[in-house]
Amino acid sequence: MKTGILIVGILCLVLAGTLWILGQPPILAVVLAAVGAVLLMNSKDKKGIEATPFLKKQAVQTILASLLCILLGLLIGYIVLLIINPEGAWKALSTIMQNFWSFSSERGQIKNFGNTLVKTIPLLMCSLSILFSYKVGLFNIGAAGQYVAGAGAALYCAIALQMPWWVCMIAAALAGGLLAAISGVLKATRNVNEVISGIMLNWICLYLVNMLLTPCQDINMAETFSLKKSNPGAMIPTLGINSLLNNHQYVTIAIPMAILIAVLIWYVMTKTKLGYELRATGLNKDAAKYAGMKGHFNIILTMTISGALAGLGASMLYLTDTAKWPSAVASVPAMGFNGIAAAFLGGLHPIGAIFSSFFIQHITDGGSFMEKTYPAEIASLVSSVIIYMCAFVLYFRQTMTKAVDGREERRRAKLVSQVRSAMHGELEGELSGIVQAEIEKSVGQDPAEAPERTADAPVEMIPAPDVLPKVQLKKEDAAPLDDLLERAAVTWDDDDDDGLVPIGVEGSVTSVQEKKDKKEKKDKKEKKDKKDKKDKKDKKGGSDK
Amino acid sequence: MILLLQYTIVFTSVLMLVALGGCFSEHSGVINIGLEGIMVFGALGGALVMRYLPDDSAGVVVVLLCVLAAMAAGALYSLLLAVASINFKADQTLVGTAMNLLGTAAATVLVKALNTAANPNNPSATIEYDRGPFQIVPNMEFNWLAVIAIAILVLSYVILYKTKFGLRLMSCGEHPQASASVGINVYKMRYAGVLISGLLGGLGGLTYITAGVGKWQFEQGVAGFGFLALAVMIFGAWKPFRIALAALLFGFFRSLSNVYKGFDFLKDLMPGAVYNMLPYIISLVVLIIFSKNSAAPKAEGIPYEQGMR
Repeated sequence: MKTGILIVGILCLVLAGTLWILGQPPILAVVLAAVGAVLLMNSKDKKGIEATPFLKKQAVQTILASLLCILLGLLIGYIVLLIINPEGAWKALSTIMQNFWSFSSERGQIKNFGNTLVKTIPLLMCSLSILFSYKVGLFNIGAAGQYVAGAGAALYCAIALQMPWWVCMIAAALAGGLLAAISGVLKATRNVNEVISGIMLNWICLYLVNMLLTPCQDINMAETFSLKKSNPGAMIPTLGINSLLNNHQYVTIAIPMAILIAVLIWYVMTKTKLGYELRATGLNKDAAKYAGMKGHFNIILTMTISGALAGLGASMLYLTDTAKWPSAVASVPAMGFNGIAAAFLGGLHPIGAIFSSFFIQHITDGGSFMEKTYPAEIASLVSSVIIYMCAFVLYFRQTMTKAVDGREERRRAKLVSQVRSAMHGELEGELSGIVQAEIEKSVGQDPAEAPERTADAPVEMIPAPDVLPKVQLKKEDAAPLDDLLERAAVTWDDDDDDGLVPIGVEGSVTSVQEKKDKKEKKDKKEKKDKKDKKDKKDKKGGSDK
Repeated sequence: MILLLQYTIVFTSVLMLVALGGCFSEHSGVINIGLEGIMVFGALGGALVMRYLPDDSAGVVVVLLCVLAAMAAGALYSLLLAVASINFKADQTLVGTAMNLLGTAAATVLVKALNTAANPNNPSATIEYDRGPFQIVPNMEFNWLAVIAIAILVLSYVILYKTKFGLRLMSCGEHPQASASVGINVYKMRYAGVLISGLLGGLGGLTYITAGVGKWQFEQGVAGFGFLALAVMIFGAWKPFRIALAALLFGFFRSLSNVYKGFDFLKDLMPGAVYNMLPYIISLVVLIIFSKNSAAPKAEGIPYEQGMR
């Protein structure tokens, strides 16, 4: 049990709970809780070298890389702010980052938090649409057009056809899905690049929806009628959720619905057969086809689901009456393109997309609260720089993996060299001892009175011949050798003669057990020799007068 | 009718320039979706030079300096794509999309900052300039830049198919490992391809904004023209003269959507929105017909690593 990580994890969770109870902004509590959960999950010790190091886990790497992208984006935004007007730059940047917290009253905070949440939902759905198709190898840039199609269908059903909200939502999903299916069919059957067909369909759809929504336009306001007045039944119900946020008028059940859909997408992608087939098609289309998966059908199905998600997202925005469709939209709304940003920032994971879309909407709304000396487009500048940095995520992850691998390798090399030097030293120590004894015998010193050879004390004796390397190691240090060897999973072969033979030692290095036996044998022999010498000496001494 | 002709020439030259730029980049193996961002930056560079040059400069000097500025701005911006996709092996489609978003945002921020610095009551993202020097015949839309575009078309064909550099460039997009084995520096070639696409894209952006209007609002970027140019490139099967024909087709229909109100029989034929959609519908139909045997450079989009099989 890695106690340190466990303690920090528990502390984080306790802190999160306290903050929640105290009524502080829930974001901080949620973030702390997430961090605590992650730490707890990683506090269990996995045995030895089979555990993936923390920094090599894919989730950790992706999160760290995304955080790095965000930091770099904010830094570049700050530099731009400084260039424009150095005085208010820090305040502007903190306004962008704080968004609703920059309001002094709690009412203002909650109201703007609600606004951000409401606008996060279509962004989340668009990012889900993009990441779903990206996992299958298709870059669904037509998400913007599918979003427009969904908006058009939802508003038309609501205002012109006076349908209830759920019919409008289904219509929006169908419209988006159909549009995307066109791209899918073209890609599957005629090999038309889905990026280009998506872009073409974006523009075609935009003009079509403009045409479609002309009867729904309120002439006085140059936008579509407000749903509250024309068809309240078309507005997504709130079911009391908005009481959590001071009865915010736009917060609806769309928010938990969208989060549920994100979880559902994750489930489908990772736990179902369909998701498996789709991911396989994305990783290697030919291999999947060879394995029998229906390539064409999968592509069309994927694009349809992507389009349905984007269309549904549009309905979740327009059916809450937050935004209305202006009378002549000149260019495709940016929501679809921001969805690309959110998808990649979230590491192409549905749950990550929830956080990343909230973050992107957070800074976009924060940008609108900046002082007027700075253009509000700074926020979209920061988002685009963040997406640009996201393209380097693969490079960041490779660098992290290389760093971790390098550290692992150095650690193992050190371990191995420790083992080898320990074994060297032991052998050398014993052999030097034997040679020493022989030398002393010839010179006449009493080997039993020779000072103990320890690692600390310098040897004050006739130096051993230079052919043997001097390694001073306590005999006691030899005991942990076995543990070291086991942990490094090093085994020494009898017949292994690949250069591991230390110079000056006869024969090859043997296994641990054999080493132990050898050691015992040598000890016994030494003792016997010593005893013999002593006897001889006594005998000799007796005759030496 | 004259207006139709003028607009056609304008849009054709824009699409042709940008599509040729994209063609160079893709022939070297780098997918360049960020053409729209490059156009915006080129337009920005040229517009700034036009705006801040002294009023009494000779026409030729104005044109020359603006062209150079636009090309330089576009090339600098395309460096973003080059470094990310060649050195850091990033996903080229993603980098291109990021560049599109970044281009519009950065241009808007820059122009607004400049305008606000000059006059605090004017936070608009518009630059005004005098397009006089660009027009061959005053009050008509025949632009010197259109002449330059035709020259560049011929030059592209010659460079790509008749010089060593061009053929080597194309080989890097088809099979970079084979090129490397013969001693071609694939990295340098890809850098060249992307930078050339930046040059031409920037020039295309300048052409776009000087055509027909004396001021340009940078909030709208280039209104999706970069993507249209991508479609033209794919339609033209990555070959310069076919790209020119595709650009002509596109330009004609796009200008039709601007001028159809002047023709009575066209006005009654179809509702206005259909004319707006027409270029895109036509391009989609053409793509459907011609994409089956797509002749895309084989190794495009795949990051090149030396020593990889």
